[in-house]
Amino acid sequence: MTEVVGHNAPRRDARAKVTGSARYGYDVALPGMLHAKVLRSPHAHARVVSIDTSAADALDGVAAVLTRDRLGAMMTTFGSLIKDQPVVAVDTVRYVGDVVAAVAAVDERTALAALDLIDVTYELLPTVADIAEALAENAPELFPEEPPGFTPHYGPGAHATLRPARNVSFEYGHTTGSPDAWDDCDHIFTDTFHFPRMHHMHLEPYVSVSTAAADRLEVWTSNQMPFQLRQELARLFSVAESVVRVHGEYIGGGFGGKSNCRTEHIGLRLSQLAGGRPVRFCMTLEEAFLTISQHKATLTLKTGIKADGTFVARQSTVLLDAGAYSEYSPFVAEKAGYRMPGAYRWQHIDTTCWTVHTNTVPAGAFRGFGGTQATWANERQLDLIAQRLGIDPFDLRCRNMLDLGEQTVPGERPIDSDLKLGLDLVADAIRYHARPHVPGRGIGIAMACKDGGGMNKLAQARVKIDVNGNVYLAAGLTEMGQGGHSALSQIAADVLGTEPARVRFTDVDTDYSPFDSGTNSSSGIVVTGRAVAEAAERARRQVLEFAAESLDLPVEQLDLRDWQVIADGVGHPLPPMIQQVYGGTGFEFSAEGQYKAAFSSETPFETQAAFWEIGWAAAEVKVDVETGKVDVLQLVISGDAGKVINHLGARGQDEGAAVMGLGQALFEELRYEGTDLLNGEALNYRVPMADDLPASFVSITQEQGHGSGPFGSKGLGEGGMLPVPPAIAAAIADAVGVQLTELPMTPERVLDAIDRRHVTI
Amino acid sequence: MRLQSRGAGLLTPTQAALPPFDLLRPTSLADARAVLADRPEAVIAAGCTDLVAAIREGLVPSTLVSLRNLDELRTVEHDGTALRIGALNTHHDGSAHPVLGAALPELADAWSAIATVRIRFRATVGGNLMARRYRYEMPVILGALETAMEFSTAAGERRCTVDEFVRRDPAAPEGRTLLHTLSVDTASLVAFRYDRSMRPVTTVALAVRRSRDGLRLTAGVGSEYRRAVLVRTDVPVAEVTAIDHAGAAHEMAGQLPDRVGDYAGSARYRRRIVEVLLRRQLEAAA
Amino acid sequence: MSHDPDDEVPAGAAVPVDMILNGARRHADVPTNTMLLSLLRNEFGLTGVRGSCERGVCGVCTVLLDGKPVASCSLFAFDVDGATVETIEGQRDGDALGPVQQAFAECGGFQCGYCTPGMIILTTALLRSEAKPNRDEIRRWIGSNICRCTGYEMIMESVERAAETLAAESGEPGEDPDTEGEEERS
Ligand SMILES: Cc1cc2nc3c(=O)[nH]c(=O)nc-3n(C[C@H](O)[C@H](O)[C@H](O)COP(=O)(O)OP(=O)(O)OC[C@H]3O[C@@H](n4cnc5c(N)ncnc54)[C@H](O)[C@@H]3O)c2cc1C
Ligand code: FES
Ligand code: FES
Repeated sequence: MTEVVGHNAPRRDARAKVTGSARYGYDVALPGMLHAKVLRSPHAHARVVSIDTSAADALDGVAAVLTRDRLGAMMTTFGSLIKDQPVVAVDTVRYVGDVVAAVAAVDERTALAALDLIDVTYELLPTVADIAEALAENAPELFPEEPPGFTPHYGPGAHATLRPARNVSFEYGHTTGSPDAWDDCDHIFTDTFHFPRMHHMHLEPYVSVSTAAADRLEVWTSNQMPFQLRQELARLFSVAESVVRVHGEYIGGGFGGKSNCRTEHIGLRLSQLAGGRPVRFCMTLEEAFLTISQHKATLTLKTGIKADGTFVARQSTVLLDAGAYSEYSPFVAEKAGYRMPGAYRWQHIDTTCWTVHTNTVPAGAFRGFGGTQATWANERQLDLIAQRLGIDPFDLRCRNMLDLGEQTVPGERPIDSDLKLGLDLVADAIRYHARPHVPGRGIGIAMACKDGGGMNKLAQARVKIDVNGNVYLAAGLTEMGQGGHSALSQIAADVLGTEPARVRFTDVDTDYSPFDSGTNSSSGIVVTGRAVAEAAERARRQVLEFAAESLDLPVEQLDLRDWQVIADGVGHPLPPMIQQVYGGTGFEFSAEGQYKAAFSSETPFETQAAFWEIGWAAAEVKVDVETGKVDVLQLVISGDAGKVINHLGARGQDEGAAVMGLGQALFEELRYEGTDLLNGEALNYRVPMADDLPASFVSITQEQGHGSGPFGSKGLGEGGMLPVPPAIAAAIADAVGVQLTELPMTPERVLDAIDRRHVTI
Repeated sequence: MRLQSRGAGLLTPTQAALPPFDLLRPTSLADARAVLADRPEAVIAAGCTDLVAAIREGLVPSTLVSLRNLDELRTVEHDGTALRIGALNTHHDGSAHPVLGAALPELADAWSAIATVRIRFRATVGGNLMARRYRYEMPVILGALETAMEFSTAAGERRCTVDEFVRRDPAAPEGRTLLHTLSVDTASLVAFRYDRSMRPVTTVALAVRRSRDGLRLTAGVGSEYRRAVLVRTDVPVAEVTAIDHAGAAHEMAGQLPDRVGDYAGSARYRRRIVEVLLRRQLEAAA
Repeated sequence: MSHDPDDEVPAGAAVPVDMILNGARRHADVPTNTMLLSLLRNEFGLTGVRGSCERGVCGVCTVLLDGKPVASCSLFAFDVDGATVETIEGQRDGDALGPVQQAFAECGGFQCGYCTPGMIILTTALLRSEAKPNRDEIRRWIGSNICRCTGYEMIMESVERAAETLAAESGEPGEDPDTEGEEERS
């Protein structure tokens, strides 16, 4: 029964957003609110010798000054698996932008004036600018003492190690099959690929309002992970999780950035120091650049294949630049490592991924989560091999791609999209097979595959229905633009035979909302969606059982539609039936649902992927061989939604992701000279604008129907980004015969490659 | 972002942190000159599209002189030999001005291509030059045209070329001086081209003027992280068609100093593409 | 010659600002340092106008000043004295959505919605100056503001839809392209 699902109706948040009345974290204001600002390290690596805040403390209007001496009972560091990031600098600052001190004052001007009065003496330490420097012999060590951390338990083939080498905080490794497979290979190719890092650049800044009382720590925030935030804040303040309450507001874009503590931990401590007054901490955009980024990476792939192009064995070494602190890097390392096989069939896989520390901004969760880096290397090496063997890259993909229903690795969820179908679709849309050979023009294709739905993600949901059939849907998924609240409401409405307009998605609040481990990994539809579907099913069942008793009919003969119980084609309105039993003072049906991918001792992560997120892309480019400039003329992207819940939402997710990929392919990157960020500012950091779009940009949302989510749906939102850079690289190769291995594909890099081509010919 | 006053860190000023300042709104150029003479500390405000960035980078004006009421700086005039553009012309109004369109349509085209629709309604040509930001394009465009900048100071009128201003040559006035007019000699101008297709890596403007012995080519080269550079060459021919396009382009690009290299492009690469772009401009102008 | 001291507003004093804000006469006495963004949000409660970069790049804070789209973060409040200012709050038609808002809602020209008020304002200005813009024109105007979520395509479709709706409403095939429409929406 899919009446509501699949409609092209406006999203439920449309009205609030087109009128500007949606309330974001940015809009939250409480009476008597103070404003926080922080002092950030001017040095990339230094010992903090002394801090003197006496003048700041004495300034009129200052309510609290936080430094290492004023953490009180608060834990000094936070993080994910490894807790190595100080709330404020303790002994050492490790990147330009590291937080040294914070002030809450009556207004931002006073807070900044107070910060201007703080004296800090630093003793400079030698710095580490990049992965190569960090791994060099005698490299300065960022963490001479081991920070607290642990490794998760894994299933067969996977392992993790803390501090496997100097300046490396975490290693994830994964092997399947026997290394004897190398003996069957006719060719072995080793290639190295480079991947730069982007900044999230969500337009709503990092912002929260916090209040701290003895028995209540409360934050209103634009955070993608309210429950994880609650957990981390409770740990930091050594309180029960129930003491912490996180209100999830509308989020003005996240892309992974708004995970973990950003402003909330500092805001709460300042509020404590200020006697519980509310503290708003709103970072500027420049500060966001100094807070979190994507992972830069160096990936080396050794691939063994048969003479006919059949893939056999792959050994990958992935080095992720984690920046100064571990943040979500261990999880990104797991996923980057795990995603190295791509969408292809192997007899033997051997992957090692390291998180390498440098004196640069910490890297964390970013749309694609390791998959973007993995796809760039994977798809590029495939094209390089195709060229070496004289096989069309399309054919080489087809020869090696996993079939629908085939397992990626033993124990894993079988692939739930027909990869060939999708590849044919984008290739045909761009006329790949019929492409004319015009000098300087070329067409390329690529595809990407990542496990979706988060690792071990658990979601719960509650559905309540009042006497008049109004539905209250509660779940912990935050709305950051992906349309999750609309899609989940549609799912509930569909199950309950009602209009989505009758479903209210209740505010996300960790005191009341059912648990959800986080809004990440394209998990909303499949994981939270299944919890919602189950809660709605159960609520429906309750209603029907109630009606069965009232009408004295067998429940199996009843159906629910528009808040009437249908029996034998006759509708029985529910309100009078309910009032007869429960009187006129009101009543609610209420049911809960939960979903988590089942535990499996067979798989590396001890749970199967919730679904596979696949992205296909095809691009046509024109290359100016005199300047190296690349113009993307056409871009076709496609994702498989399994079953579309909301067309507008699905399409928007794929297109937004693809344009991020377009920027990363051609120009977007954080530029570092040594340990100094050159372009951490809105005008200098170039993101794609409308006039950067190719003349033809087409997205095709497939509904292959094999998803594990409600109605056969799958998650979307990341898959569209992953294949875009390699598709453009392949198009450049088709146009001018050069294979780029480093992003972004700047004119100079393209021209250099063209020069080298002439030399080698 | 700015350095903290004691050097102990970085701070990020917000708009809310800006303290009130004395505001002066002169209504004539003479009035403005007097105001600025009185208040040497004053910061000049035109369209404020850059000033706001400067404030967010730590500028704290104690006095602000708003030029908003100086309509006399919004004119564009041409007497047949010199084009005079008031400093307060916005990108939108200035580039669409009929006098400019008639006198120097190539400049109108170049000017109409910069920035975004929204910014163009506020941003002024004077502010673009006076902001001294490397990535802004007017220093390249007007630099290649050997435009004169005319300033009004307490001590009288001052004048320098855009290139002198960009290089901070002694001929350029120091400090906060009121720019009122930009003047371009159109009498000797034979052709003008501007190419921003490679922006932000490199932009190139080319002016061809008649000189005593033939033609003089002046090119402005801009980039993201380095100030605009001018290069010149003289060719002993009378017509653009007669120029050895490749040779002249090579000669000019070869003059680019090593310091044009930056993160977005090495000096070697810049010389090479500037040569290509100049050659194409000459071919197109021919 | 000395300048007229009447033109001077000392730091401690307020500047009187009279404007037409979303169709109504408004007055405010603002300290010199007040930005239009903060005046609109904090003084007039128009919180659909939000900030992000606070330096003119992103366009989240876009409003119409005498019919032209400008960044309200990059404009001193004293500069709007005597001007007409329109914000996202002025787009509504009573309880109903305005035609541009309706188009964005129907075409899904938003995701997180943070850029949306600015994009709707840009669209309004574009459609007043050019009732039937072509794709390149739309790209150029929408290219003024950043949207990090949508990939722009659905925003541009929203603009096209709004143009169609407005053309249908006015019952005309479209205005003369070069009339700079500054009149209020009826
Ligand atoms: C989003 C965005 C995109 C942009 N894109 C481009 C682009 O593509 N190409 C490009 O070239 N530029 C671009 N710019 C820059 C823009 O063109 C400049 O900011 C603008 O021209 C500055 O003019 P203004 O009137 O706003 O100057 P203001 O901000 O008012 O002033 C800038 C500086 O000049 C001084 N000043 C202004 N006028 C005078 C005067 N008459 N006499 C003396 N001093 C004066 C001020 O004191 C201040 O220091 C962009 C800016 C933004 C925000
Ligand atoms: S906040 Fe005004 S343009 Fe970004
Ligand atoms: S919808 Fe999020 S920035 Fe445009």
